[in-house]
Amino acid sequence: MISTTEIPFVTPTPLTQRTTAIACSGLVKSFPIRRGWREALRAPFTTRWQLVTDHLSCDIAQGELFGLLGPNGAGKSTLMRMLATAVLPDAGTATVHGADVVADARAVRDMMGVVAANERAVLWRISARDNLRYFAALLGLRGAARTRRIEEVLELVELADTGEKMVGEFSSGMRQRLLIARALLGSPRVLLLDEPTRSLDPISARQFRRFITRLIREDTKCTVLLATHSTDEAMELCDRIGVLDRGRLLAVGKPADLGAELTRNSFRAWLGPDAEAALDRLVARGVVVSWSPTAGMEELFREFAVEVTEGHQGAAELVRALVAAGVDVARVERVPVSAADIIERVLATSDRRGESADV
Amino acid sequence: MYKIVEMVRTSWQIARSYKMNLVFSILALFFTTIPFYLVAHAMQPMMGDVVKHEGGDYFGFVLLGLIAISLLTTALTAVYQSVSGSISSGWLEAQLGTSTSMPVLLVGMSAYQFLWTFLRVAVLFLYGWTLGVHVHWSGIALGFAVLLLLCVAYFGLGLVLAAMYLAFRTIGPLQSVIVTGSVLLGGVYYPTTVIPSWIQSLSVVVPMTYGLRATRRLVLDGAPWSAVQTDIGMIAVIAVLMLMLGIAAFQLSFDHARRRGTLSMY
Repeated sequence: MISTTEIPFVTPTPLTQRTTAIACSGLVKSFPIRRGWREALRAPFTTRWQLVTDHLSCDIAQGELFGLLGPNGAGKSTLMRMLATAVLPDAGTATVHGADVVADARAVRDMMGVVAANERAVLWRISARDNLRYFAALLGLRGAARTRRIEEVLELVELADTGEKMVGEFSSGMRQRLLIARALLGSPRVLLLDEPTRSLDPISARQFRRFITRLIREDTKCTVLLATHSTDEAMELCDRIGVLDRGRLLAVGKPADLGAELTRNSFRAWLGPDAEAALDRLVARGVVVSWSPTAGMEELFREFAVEVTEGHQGAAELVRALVAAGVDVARVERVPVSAADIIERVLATSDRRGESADV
Repeated sequence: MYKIVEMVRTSWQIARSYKMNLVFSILALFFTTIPFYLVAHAMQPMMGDVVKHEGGDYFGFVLLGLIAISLLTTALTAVYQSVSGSISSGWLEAQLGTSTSMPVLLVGMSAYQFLWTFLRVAVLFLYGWTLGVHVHWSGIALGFAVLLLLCVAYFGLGLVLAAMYLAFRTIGPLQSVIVTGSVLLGGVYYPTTVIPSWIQSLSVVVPMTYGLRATRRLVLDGAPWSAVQTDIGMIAVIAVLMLMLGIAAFQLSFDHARRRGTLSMY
């Protein structure tokens, strides 16, 4: 394994002094590849395997909201399900607050709330309150304590008024909140959220993110591992993001750091007339790596995409050189990055280097 | 125990929400029994002598056969149906996310179906009694205990079916083979003494043979314990063996599913 420091655009983010909530070390998991009839008949006793997590290691601190980003098949859900003790790892270890997910599976389950991607995993013909009552019983809650806890979580997810409604009549957003309520019933120390906004429309998803922020930051303060396809979601919610692809954790860092690292030298500049010739001269001098005009225009100032060499220092030098060359400079700003860019960039770089992060 | 009670309560809530299904399920008990009553009475002159060691009343003989089949079907399919239904919705994995043990989950998920079946067969039995079946009430408790052993034996096979479903997502023809085999060889509609001798030897491995014969002799013939102890001993041994087989098969299959990650994959 190669440490994150060897990947140029990743800022390693130490866990500070907080207690480790989730620790994974060298987790390996392979699943058999489904075969067609022809292949199965030709070689009935052979199995081909697909590596889903490849010596995956990470530590997540107590109280941290950690996002897992990655394309389909990256291994996000498998990692979640291994932590939830539903899938056994082939090799490596994973612990939750010190309890091993294989050897102490029951202790792990006691500490964990899971919101799986499958929102159908509810009892549709009974009310939300009765769904929670059922689950509370499985969690060992009884009597008045159970009733009180059910009301608490219903309040938390803002379903107290609709608690008697049959779940089959719920909207997707309400069902998702019910799943959260169910996961919170046992007052978990760790919450696993697997694509919680997958089936939500954009407005419901935004409401859900606000809800999660409030819930995690203010109300429960538990550790959260969030697997998502939504880059916006990860950027908005998470303390740190891990980019996962083909079972390898390629990069980990704070969302802002990852973005800044990625676009360190990419700037947009709104420049006056005759800027092209000046930019060419700066390329020759080595101040500018490359430049190109974009379609943007603000009054008399045309927008250019400029790649410099030394981040903000390079940008400062760019401004000085342009002014010295008599070019009017209206504005220079760093290119804003989308998380999709981060993933793309991380994946492209890892393809070139064949690396994985060890956080 | 309270977990199982809560699971049964929830299953009842769900069943109650399908109102027409509940009504039809009860009505069907009465209507499906009528043809058996009429046919059994028509065949009484022919079958009376054949079933003389098991009460001599052919309708009573068939009624207990129907009761045993109801129990067999539930014992065989309750776990498998619960598991297959909850895999496809992700419900099984969600429940496994709690610290409740697998045996409690399996019993809780199928307990309502057993209770409902017990209620239905009790109604059926009383209905048969009102239609003229001669019952030796002194043998009821032991007869019920024998039927429970029969349930345990088929519950073990039910665990094997559930294990097959967990591993292969199908049970193939196994359920049909077990039910048909038990009906044909176990003496549900006729005593095993009337079937050809070469098939008769197969009936010694069918749990239904011992369970049903003992129950009929206790309930319809008023036989004492000493007359049925061999049959009860056999069904008890078979029940323990089947249950052990079922538990082992399910545990293997469950571990296999956890390794393959297929607990919630349809």
